[in-house]
Amino acid sequence: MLKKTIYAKLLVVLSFLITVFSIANLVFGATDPVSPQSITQISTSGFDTTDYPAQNTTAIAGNVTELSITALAPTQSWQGYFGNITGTITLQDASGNIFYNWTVAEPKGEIYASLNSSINWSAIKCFNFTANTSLEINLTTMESTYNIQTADVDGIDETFNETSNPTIYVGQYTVAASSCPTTYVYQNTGKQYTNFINTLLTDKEKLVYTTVIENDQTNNNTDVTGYNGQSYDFQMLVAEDGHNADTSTTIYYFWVEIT
Amino acid sequence: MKLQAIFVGLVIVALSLFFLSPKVNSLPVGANVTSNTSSNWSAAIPSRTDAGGTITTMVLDAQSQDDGWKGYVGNISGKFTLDDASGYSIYDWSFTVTEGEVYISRAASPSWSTAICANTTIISNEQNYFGMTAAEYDIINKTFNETIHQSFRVGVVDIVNSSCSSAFTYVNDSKYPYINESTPFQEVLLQTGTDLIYAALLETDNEGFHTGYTYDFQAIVPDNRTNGVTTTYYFWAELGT
Repeated sequence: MLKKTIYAKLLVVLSFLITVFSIANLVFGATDPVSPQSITQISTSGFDTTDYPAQNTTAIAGNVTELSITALAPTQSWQGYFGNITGTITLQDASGNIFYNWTVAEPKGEIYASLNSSINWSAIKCFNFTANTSLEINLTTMESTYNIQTADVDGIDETFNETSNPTIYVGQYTVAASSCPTTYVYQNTGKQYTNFINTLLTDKEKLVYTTVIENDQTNNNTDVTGYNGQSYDFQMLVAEDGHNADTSTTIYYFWVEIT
Repeated sequence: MKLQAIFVGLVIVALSLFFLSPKVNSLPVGANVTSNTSSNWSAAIPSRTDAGGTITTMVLDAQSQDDGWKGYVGNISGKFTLDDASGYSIYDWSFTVTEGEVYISRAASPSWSTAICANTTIISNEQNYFGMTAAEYDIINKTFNETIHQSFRVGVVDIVNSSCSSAFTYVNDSKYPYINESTPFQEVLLQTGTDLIYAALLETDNEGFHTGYTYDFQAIVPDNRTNGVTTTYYFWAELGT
């Protein structure tokens, strides 16, 4: 009888634990950023040397002429993404059956990009340039991945040289404001410190590029002007190795979190 | 609402973005020449006052400004940029130039992917263009009479060290004490197709020909000796860090 009672109690406890874990899985699993249902490439282009035709000067024999030259070169370490986003907030079960949808014309939230297709979102935190490599990736690890030299002016730390990120909610996890490597991608007026915030996060093993979707202010559905005078929802930098005439491409995986 | 969205959000997204874009190789770019000043040499006129009835033995050391060459010196500033094909920048990085080349040519549109060391035929053709004859001391192949220079890259083309005709413009008003691959202000002869290219390898504020003045580059290019006849040269720059 006593044995039966003990088994009954154990069964109740076990049922309770199963219920708790099931709920946890249902709730927490759904909070992670979600892969976008589609990515459409509208256009792509890069630095065009014909935009900068040869300059000339007239030589007169016997003269020595002092010149001041300014010149551009395309970065060999970065790729830019920009565009617009539309989304739907949905209420559905684990099988994808939709209970209700809310269409969002101007979503708010974040876009994430990474070299890896799987991110441990529960470990998400700021990317630490000086982290102990036995515990997590750091600046040396990632710049080596992209063949970026420490002294390069367009390296990762030279680019993400601010720490003025806003509070970022990655699912149920919170990344504190003003704590992560951050930069601001240009608007048509050039460098600025207000819009198109890009921040570096990590799950300790993978680098996660993060950009805050614009229109993130309440009741603001007005798109922000981007680098070329057109309005966009996001502008994003990701590193890519183009050094030493490297012409191979790199696959980036994207996630979106709409709030 | 926000929590609902976070907890059960499945997003339908249409992203308008650049995706897996082709690489852009860093070809030389037309350099923006913002200012220039020119100067020419004029010799002081020596004189003597000797008493009558004397015979004076004189050793004359004469200099004559070379009217077959033109010199360019100066400094360069630059930045790496992430541009689209329309020239709009989504980001850029300014820096102090420490590596790279300034290219000078009479040709307005060199085919950079074909860059190689200039051969004797191309050099000879250029000498003929300027009316230089083999007997002259200051023709191109007697000026670029070294094959010593650093390795460098023209766009995607590697130029092997000490493989092309080269010259070294002066430092501190004189020829540099020694010539090797570390000697400053190296200038190398290249060709793209039938076009001769003068490649001046960049320095970082190195003392130049003018004592006390620093420059990032020095280059000499030939010019027509005929008085009043000018030659148009085009400039490009390729930057490193």
